[in-house]
Amino acid sequence: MPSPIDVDDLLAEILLRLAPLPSSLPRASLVCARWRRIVTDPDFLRRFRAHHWKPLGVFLTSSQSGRRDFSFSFVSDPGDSIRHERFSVPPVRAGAGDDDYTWVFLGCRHGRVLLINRIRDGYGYGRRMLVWNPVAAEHHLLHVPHFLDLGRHCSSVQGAVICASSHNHKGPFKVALVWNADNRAHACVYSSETGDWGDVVSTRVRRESGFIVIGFWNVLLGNSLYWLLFGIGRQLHMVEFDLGSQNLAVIQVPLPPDVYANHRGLYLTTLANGGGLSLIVMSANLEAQLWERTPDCDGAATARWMLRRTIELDKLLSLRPGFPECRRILGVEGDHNVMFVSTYRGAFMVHLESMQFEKIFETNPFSDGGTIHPFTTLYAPGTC
Amino acid sequence: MASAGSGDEKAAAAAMITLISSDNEKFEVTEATATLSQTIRHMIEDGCTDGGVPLPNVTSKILARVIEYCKKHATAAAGEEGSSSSFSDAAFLEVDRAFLEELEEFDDAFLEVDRATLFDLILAANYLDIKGLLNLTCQKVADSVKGKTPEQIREMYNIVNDLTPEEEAEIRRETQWAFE
Repeated sequence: MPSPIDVDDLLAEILLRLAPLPSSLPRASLVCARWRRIVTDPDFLRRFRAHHWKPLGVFLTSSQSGRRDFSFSFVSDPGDSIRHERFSVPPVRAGAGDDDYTWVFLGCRHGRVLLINRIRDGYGYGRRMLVWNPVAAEHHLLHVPHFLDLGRHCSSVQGAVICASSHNHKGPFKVALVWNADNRAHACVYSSETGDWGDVVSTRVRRESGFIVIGFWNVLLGNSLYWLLFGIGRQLHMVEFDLGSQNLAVIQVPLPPDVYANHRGLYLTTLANGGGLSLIVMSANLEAQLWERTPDCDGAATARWMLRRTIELDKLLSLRPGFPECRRILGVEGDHNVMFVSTYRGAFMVHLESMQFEKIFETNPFSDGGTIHPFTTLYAPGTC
Repeated sequence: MASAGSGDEKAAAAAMITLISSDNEKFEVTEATATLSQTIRHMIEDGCTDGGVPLPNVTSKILARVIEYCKKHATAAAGEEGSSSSFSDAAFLEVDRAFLEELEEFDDAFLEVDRATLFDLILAANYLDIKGLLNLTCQKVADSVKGKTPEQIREMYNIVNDLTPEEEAEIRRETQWAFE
């Protein structure tokens, strides 16, 4: 009888279950040529990411202002080495007149957290940002670039932290900021390797009326970050920023506007076949419409979007009909396609690829309008 | 004549299947236990189980263990079906939790086997297409290489390193941080 180690399909089943630690796959790839071939196969990597869909934990913030500390809860087994105390924001001064400022989330990715300081009792921002690696207990204080006047003309600024070499301990990282001002969308990138912000790239935004707002959640697909952009006429748009070429584009999402006329949340995900871009449109009764961008297009500008399926979260989570006010989508982590839902039965996370779900809080900690920020340390080549 | 009634359901639940190991030992199991294996489920659906199901790839020693696993987990699956139709209340959750804990303890004890047996269980779980058992046993092997260096993994599983020194250096350069 052969050993399962000698059978490619069975070896893949085993390696799929390696711990989602940064070192797991690189070490496996050094065992021999066959192991290397298996763990670098794109199909294997897709399955590896899907198998390890659960974040390590979630940060919670409440909607009340004036709070400096976030709470953190593990939702996966952290193993022996990662202690809960590590997830308290490091005692870094948020700015001069410390008490007037508080840290707020811009995002989490690849084991790092991006925070920006904000005036405690108002709407303005401070001038500092924090890139924090809780697992490695490291943090870097950054200054908001001087050309970004957060107080004067930014109706929204969003950001993302990315580990350049997919590595979540001591490696380099990048911070991308996008904002809109003077009818233009702007982006710039900080690199920990150069220790400085790069040039600002801009593109024109055709504004018909009102405010333009860049959505909070973003997804990383290949080398590009995507945010939804609201407020350009009735049509939905998104911002695409290529970290390699530094190309910034505002792209229409050509869905019929009535599709999302009464939506209860729009979220970008990577659920399309082979990990392509897709959009979740939530309805009031917790039905999620999944629209996929067709991969066979010539370019993003001519892409078509197709309705692929509808996910009935009510049924999945065994919720009683009615009481739409008792359920709320807290957010969707689009890189791993994990949705967070608060309900009268507690808070759940749902893996939209496999439809597996898990209750993360028995009682609902989000009834006051708080937010959730999933924290994942997963290393899998190809996620960036 | 087939008619929907509790008598028929009881008869179906008690239906027995005979499994025959490679060394010709016969095992009588309920259909509920046997159909945890997708392979056997398909055979039953195709009506090819009269006179027993020969399993030429599975020895009696391994088949006995596989049946032990399936019996325990078939009970669990039946319990789940019973509770899913009703809204869970506190009492149900308590029962579920106690049962899940018991199942976890069973799985842990089940995996206390030598490596050869573990490997045979993986092959059997794969051949019989028993998802839960394949997951359990493959996870055990994956856990065994946790924290091990490539050299230690090769030694554990008698693997010959056929990477050229250049290839090895290249992988190490690309992912140097993983080996610090």
